[in-house]
Parts: sequence; structure tokens; C-alpha cells
Amino acid sequence: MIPSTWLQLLPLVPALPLLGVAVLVLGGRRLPDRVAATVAVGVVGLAFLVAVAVGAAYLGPGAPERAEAGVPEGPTRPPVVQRLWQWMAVGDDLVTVSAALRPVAAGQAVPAGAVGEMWASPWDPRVAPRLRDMWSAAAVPGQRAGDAGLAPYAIVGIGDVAPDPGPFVAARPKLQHRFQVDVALQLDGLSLVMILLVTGVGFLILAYSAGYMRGDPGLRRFFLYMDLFVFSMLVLVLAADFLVLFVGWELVGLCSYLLIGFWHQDVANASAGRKAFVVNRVGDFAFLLGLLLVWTVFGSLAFADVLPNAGRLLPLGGALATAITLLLLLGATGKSAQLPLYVWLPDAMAGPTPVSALIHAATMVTAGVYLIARAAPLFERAPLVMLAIAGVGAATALAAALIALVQVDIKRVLAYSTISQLGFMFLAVGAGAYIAGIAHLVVHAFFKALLFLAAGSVMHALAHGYAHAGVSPPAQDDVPAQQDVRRMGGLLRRLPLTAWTFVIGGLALAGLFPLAGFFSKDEILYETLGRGQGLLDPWVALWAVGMVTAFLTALYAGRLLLLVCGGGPRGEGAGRAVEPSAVMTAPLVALAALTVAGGLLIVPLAGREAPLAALLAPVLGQHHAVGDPSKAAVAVAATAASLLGLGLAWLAYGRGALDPARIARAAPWAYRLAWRKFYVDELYALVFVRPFRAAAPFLWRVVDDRVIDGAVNATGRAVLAAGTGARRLQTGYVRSYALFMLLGAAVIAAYLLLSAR
Amino acid sequence: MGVSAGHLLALAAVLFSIGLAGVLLRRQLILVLMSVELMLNAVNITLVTAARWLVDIDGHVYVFFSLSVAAAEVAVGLALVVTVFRALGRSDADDADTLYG
Amino acid sequence: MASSVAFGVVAGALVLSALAVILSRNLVHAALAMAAHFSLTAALYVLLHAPLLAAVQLLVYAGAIMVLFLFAVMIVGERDVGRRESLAGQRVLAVLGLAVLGAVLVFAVVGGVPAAGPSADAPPVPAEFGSPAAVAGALFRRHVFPFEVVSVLLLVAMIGAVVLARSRPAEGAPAEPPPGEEGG
Repeated sequence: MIPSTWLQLLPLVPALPLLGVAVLVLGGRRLPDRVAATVAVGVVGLAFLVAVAVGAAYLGPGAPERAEAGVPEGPTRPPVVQRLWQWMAVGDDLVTVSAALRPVAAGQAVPAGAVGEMWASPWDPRVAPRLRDMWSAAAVPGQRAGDAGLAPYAIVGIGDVAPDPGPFVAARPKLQHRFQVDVALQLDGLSLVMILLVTGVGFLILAYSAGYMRGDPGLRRFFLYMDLFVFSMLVLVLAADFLVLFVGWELVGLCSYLLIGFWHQDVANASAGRKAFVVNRVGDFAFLLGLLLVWTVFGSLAFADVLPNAGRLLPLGGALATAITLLLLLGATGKSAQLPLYVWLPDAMAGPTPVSALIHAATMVTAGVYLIARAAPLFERAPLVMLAIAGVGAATALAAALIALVQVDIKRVLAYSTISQLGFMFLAVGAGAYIAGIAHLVVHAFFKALLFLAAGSVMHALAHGYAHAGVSPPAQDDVPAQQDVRRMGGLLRRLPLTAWTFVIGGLALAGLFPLAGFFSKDEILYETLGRGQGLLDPWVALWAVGMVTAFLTALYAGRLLLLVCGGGPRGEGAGRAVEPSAVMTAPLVALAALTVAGGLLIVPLAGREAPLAALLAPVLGQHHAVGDPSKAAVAVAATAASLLGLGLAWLAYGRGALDPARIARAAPWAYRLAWRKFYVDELYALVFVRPFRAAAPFLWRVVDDRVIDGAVNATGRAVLAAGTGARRLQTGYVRSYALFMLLGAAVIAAYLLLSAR
Repeated sequence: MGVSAGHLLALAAVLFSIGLAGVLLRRQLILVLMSVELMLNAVNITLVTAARWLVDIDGHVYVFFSLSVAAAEVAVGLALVVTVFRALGRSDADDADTLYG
Repeated sequence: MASSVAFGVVAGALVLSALAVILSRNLVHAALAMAAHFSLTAALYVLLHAPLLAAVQLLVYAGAIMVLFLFAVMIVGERDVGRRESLAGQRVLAVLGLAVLGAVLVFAVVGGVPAAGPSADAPPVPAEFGSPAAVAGALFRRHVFPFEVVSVLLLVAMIGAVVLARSRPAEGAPAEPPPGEEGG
């Protein structure tokens, strides 16, 4: 029996990485590298174990304890919210009631036309006592049951059937809360999946980085930032309130900045970190505006107050719903590197590879998708925005795949691949297929982390190889030698373990059956097609884009695999590469296993529901299919696309039957567009960066120096001038002083005389 | 009759003002002292008037004291003036000009 | 009737002599005007039933103090320092201030003298009012302490005057005057 008191351990999950941070901070330079690494990796591992325990307690049997803890059995499993402490509380509770009260007989429908509105405190004597008796806790939007001092009320809405006993009065219910934010943790299927993912994959990546970062002078700082990141991400996904989520959101942005610019001695790295932070900030600003709008509608930012009442308070397709969701979407595109705020992710590859794996593949970038899934009830009220989400996702996926096809830096290929796959996730949630989107998020985390870590091992091996050969070749096209795929090759034979895991990851990316990537991608495409009917429906177009992207994904994945692993070594480093240590290969094996087995999480087997779906359905269950395509047909089409892509890659890069160089020469403009990433960075530089750079000196010299400093200096000068003026009274002559005494006395005498009258 | 306290007090006020004008407007030190004596004298007149109208002899007593102090002050003041004259060769009020600040 | 005429004459003369004092260019003239002023004040005291004070006024003011002034004038010389006003705005502001103060004083006096009232006639006084016996009675009974203090004050003033008039006025001169006299 798993005691459901283990549910109480939930705060331990984010607390453990925070503890790691504290130890690393306080230990300082005195901590030897091994200890620092062990502590940092260990706390995340422990957090994972605690997460498993908590999950088991949440899901498992153990009926008496469950009943005690109030967790019911069955498919509808409400979230467990643990309130930690109250962060802030502002203002008072007020309630709106109808001014004119008309009695309605029991059993009659409540008519429209409640006259007027007034604000009153629930204890205001103007609120009719009978009305007060009739407001019930469950129906009041946002009201917390059992709040001390707020007596139970019954609300009857317009159009509802009047209950017994009548007669009663009609009222337009609207409770304005005092604004209260509690720091609370919420455990449900979605957050459980996320914390398991973050701590599990995080642990593997951290273990890997213990080997990867060995010998780096900043090792302690690295692990400090990584643990801080894990903590922040856990706060983000465990938050029960939008504001707490936002805190985690910002913190992961901070950690991303710190980790991208980790080797900050090189200015380019620091600039990349700054770019990431600034672009994220744009999205964060939109996010915040969205939250403000949410507050104006709901009076609160807690999930329990907002999400169940979204249907009630947000008219479908209305301006408010559209505005809120659009702003939240913008925030999500910043964090998840979609159009138009994706430009920071390729530059973020300047950071250490484990950072790319954890933050920019598996976790932080998924925060946007998580947000949309979590706030699904809000998004459901704005169908136009959902279409936009899907559109953005599809467009991003396509564009990124095209760019990835021509990159020669192994990390860049993976970066654009990540952007593309995130696009798929956005497509999914935009189509309302939340479960499919989260499923893809999970499996993508597995194989993308795998790919990044394996790439890191490859880069490591190549660097050692160059060192052994005694050469240090220069970077070509700004790509360092050990990252250049043109100088790789033949690694399947030289680094078998690493290379085979890399291959597994790549094939999963391509969506090959029966690896995990196939199932989730297939599900997404199925759901997308299912939303549409007829050939001209936008959903069908999106499905088509998805298909093309799937083909391109397989193509660039195959290209990558063949260039890296196949053939013979094309460079000195590749020629002398050797398998790295177990510390670095073991996590790869684990991730590869997860990649292979991941499909099991998604596919319903033997009559039972798929585990992931079972977990997520109580939270996310939605089904929007209008048309009814055949599942098998979609699967076949998807597989065909992957095979086509892989085959083409084989022909071009494996066999040499097609020469990619010739194709590039045939359509140089197409090639250049992709090579230059569609000139988006240049566009942003022109539109945003240049005006800022031009405005800054103006603001500095005119506003800061002349206006602000001028005002301050002028004040000082005025005081000096006043002093100089006043000093002239000090003549030194006795007769002047006598005169001043007279003048003063005259004034006082006059005043006394006048006031006495 | 018709002479009232008001008339006498007004007279004293006028004499006081005249003395004050002398203090402010003349530079010759001895003259300034003379003006001060005028002011004191005006105050004495006020006291005597008050004594007369309130039928209180204490007013005269105060005048005695005022008178004594005036005499003492004149003695010391003139000694000072003489000292200054010996030092500077003249007795100009504007020579006292170091009271800055 | 007669006393009002007398009062009017004395008052006018008092004002004129005071003006003469402050407007003279010659110190001896000023001293003479002052002597007249004090004498007229004594006359005023007589009119106000203060005979002892009138006598003392003549003795002390018109007598001793005037002599002191004349000795000082003897030493300093009778010429004025200068007619030009050295300080900017002194004359204007002084006149202004004096005007205000004068107006205030007069208005205060005319408007607000309580009890007796500015236009009230003088109340009757006992015959012995203002006589030496009456003054002495008050002075040596109720005010004997200030009387003693004043005598100390006079002693201090005497010593101070002697010291000041004796010492040589050198910069940072020591308290002890040097032996030997230089003419002064």
C-alpha cells in the first residue's frame, strides 16, 4: 500500500534542487569539483525518486488512505493542491447584486432583466437577507469554499430554473475578490508528467555533464546554474497560480541567459545569452499583459479560479478571449522559439552542449507548449487564436526544417530541428490535440536530449582527436572544426556506442516506426486532419504542411546521420576519435532505451488506455475531430513521408547517387535563402536593433545629460545663487543690522496689531 | 483739560521714533548715543504716564531704575567711543564692519 | 485748560528739540538741543505729578549725562563725519521701517489703551503722589533688591569706564596697561 501521505512530499521535489543550489553557493570555491558534481546531480536524482513516489501515491490504490486524503478513485482525478503560503492579498471582497429585486416562483425560469447593479460587501445590510441565504459556495466564480467569514450563498443565474424554496430574487452574480496570490503546488496528470520528465531527463543530462564538463574551471558555477534551472522549471510546472508560473517562467529565462553565456570570456557567447534574454523578454511582456487581462475578467490568477470559469466568463470568440490568448501565445512563442521570437535559439548553441540538451531541447522550450496545454480552457474560448497557434507552429516547423537541411554545424542542425519539432507541438495544441502535443513533448525530450548529448560526445571525441594529431584546424564559415559535419564521418566504427545511440535518436526524429517519434507525430497529423473537412479547410492545409515537414525532417535527419556516422572519416579529428568514458555513454544508453520504449507510453495496448493518455485525459481531454479520417491511412501516409525522406537522404549522402552540391548550384537562390536562415536575423537587426542603437545615444546625451542631469544641476545652482544672494545681507556694518532689526520688529508689531484686531 | 493718556503715549512714540531715526541714519558715534538716550527718555515718559493714569507709584520707581541704567550705559559707551577715537582718529559707525557671517 | 496749553507747548518743544538733536551737523549744537530736551522732559514730569522725578531728571540727565557728553565731544571734536550715506538703501528702508513702526505705535496707542482709555481724563491723584516720601516708600520697601543690584551695576560701569578710558588701544593688547602715559 502506498500511503497517500507521500503526497505531502510534493514540495520536496522543487526543494531538493534548491537545496543543491544552496550547498553550491555556500560551499563556494572550497568545494572540490567531484563533490559539487555529486551534490548537484544527486539532488536532481533524489527529486526524481520523490516525484515517482508522489506520483505513485497520487495514482495508486490504497483506498483508505486515499479517502482520508480526499483523493477519489477513477478516471476523473481532481488535482491535489498544496497551499504553501500566501504571497500577497490586496483589497476587499465585494459582490454585485441586482438593485431591483423581483420575486420568482419556484420552478419558473429566472427571467432576464435584472435591473441595475450595485456593489456591496457581502455583509452590507442593503443586500437582502434572503438573497444572502441563497448564494451557494459552489456556484460563485472564484470563491473559495470555506473561506472564513464568507457565508454560503446561492446564486441563480438568468435563465436558470429557480430552485426550492421560492420565491427568491434574481441576481447577476459577480464577485470581486480581493486579489490574493497563494504560493501553491498543484499535482495532476499534466504536472506529474512534467516533473517526471524534468527530473528524470535532467538527472541523465546532469550525470552526463559531470563527464563533459570535467576540468572546466567553472564547473561549480555550471552545476549551480543547472540546479537553479531545474528548480525554476519545477516551479513553473507545479505552480497552481499563473503568477507563480510566471515567476518560474522568468527564472528559467534567467538561467538560460546565465548558461548560454557560461563561457562569457568570449564576447560572442555573452551576446548570445543577452539575445536570448532580450527576445524572451518581449514574449514575457506580452505574457504579463495577458495576465493582467485575465485578472480583469476573473479577479484572480489562480488556476482553480480561472480555468473552471473560463466558459462562464469569456464569451466564445470574443475580443477579450482573443486578446488574452493572443498575448499568452506571444509569450509562448518567445519561450518556445516559434515565429516570430525564435531567433535566439540557434545562437543559444554557444552554451555548453548539456545546456542545449536540457534547456533548449527537453525542458525550457517546452514551457510554451505546457502553458497552452495548461490554459487550454482559456484557449478554447478563442478558436481563431487556436488556428493561429496551429498556423504558427506549422509555419515555424516548415521554415526551420528547410534551414536545418543546409546547416553544417551539428548543433545548429539540432537547434533548428528543435524549433521545427516545437512547431509540431504547437500545431498539435492549436488543433486541440493536447494529449498528442504533450506526448510529442515527452518523446521529443527523450530523443532530442539523446541527440544533443551524443553530439556532445562526438564533439568531445573530435576535439581529442585533433589534439592527438597535434593540429588545430581553423573554423570554416564560423563553424569550429569539431562541430563541422563536413569534417566528420566514419564514426559508426570509431565510436560505436555513441554513434548507435545517435542513430536511434535520429531515426526517432525522422518518425520511423516503431520508435517513439513515430507515434506522437502520427497522432498529431491525425488530429490535425481530423479537424478539417473538405480540401479547402485550413486544417487540411495545415495537415499538408505537416506532411511536407515530416518529409523534410526525415530528410535532414538522414542527412545528419549519414554525414556524421557513415562513410569514412573526412577529417583528422574524426580519424582519431575514440569512445568517451562511461559517465558520458551511460546516459546515452538510458535515453536511447527511453526513445525506443517511449512508444509504449503512447500506444494503447491490450485494451488498456495508453498510460500517458490515461494520465492526461482528466486534465486535457478534448476531442475536436469534425471529419473522420482513417487512422490507418494517416499512419501509412506519415510513414511514407518518413521513408521517402530517409530514402532520399540515403541516395544523396549514402550512395552518392544524388550530388547535393549540384542541387545547390542548380537553385542557388533557394540554397542561399536557407543557408542565411531566410534573412530573419538581418531583418530584425534592421527593424529593431538599428533604431535602438540610434536612439540610445540621443537618450543618453539629451535626455539623461541635459534634461535629467540639467534639472539636478539647476537645482544645485539655484541653491547656490540663493545663498549668494542671501549672503549680501551680511554687510558687516552695524547700522545695517540695526536697520534689519527695525524692519523685523516693524513686521512683527504690525502682525500683532492686525491679529489683535 | 482734554489731555489724555493717548496723547502722552503718542508723544512718547514719536520721540522714540525720532531717536530711532537718529540711530539708523547718522554715522557719528556720539550722536548715535545721544539718539539712544532720546529713546530711553521716551520710554521714561511712557512709564510716568502710566503711573499717573493708573495711580501707581511703582511707575516712578521703574523710571528711577531706567535712569540709573541709562547713566551707567552712557558712561561706558562714551568711554568706548573715546577708545575708538584714540585708535582710529575718528568716530565713524561704519568703522565697525567686521561682523561678517 | 491751562495745563493742556502747557502740555501742548511742552510737547511741541520736546519734538522740536529731539529733531534738532538728530539733525545737527555740529555735535555741540546737538548737545545743547539735548539738554533742552531733558529739561523739557522735567517740565513734563512736573505736569504729570512727578516732582521728585523731575528733580532727578534735571540732576542726572540734564546735569551728569550732558556733562559726560560734552567731555566726549571735547575729546572727539564737534565736526560730523560725513553727509553722504554710505550704505545702499539705508535711508529709504529706514524711513519705511520707521513709518511702519510709528504708525503701528500710534495706532496701538490710540486704539487700544485699555481701562484708562485714550480719551479718558486723568483720574484724581492723592496730594502726596509723586512726592519723595511716596517714591521712597515704594523704592525701599518693595523694590529694595533691584535697588541694591543697580548700585552694583553702577559700580561695574564706573570701573569699566575707567579701564576703557585708560588702556592703550593696541591690537591684541594685554589686559595690563603698559607703564607710562602717552598723551590722549
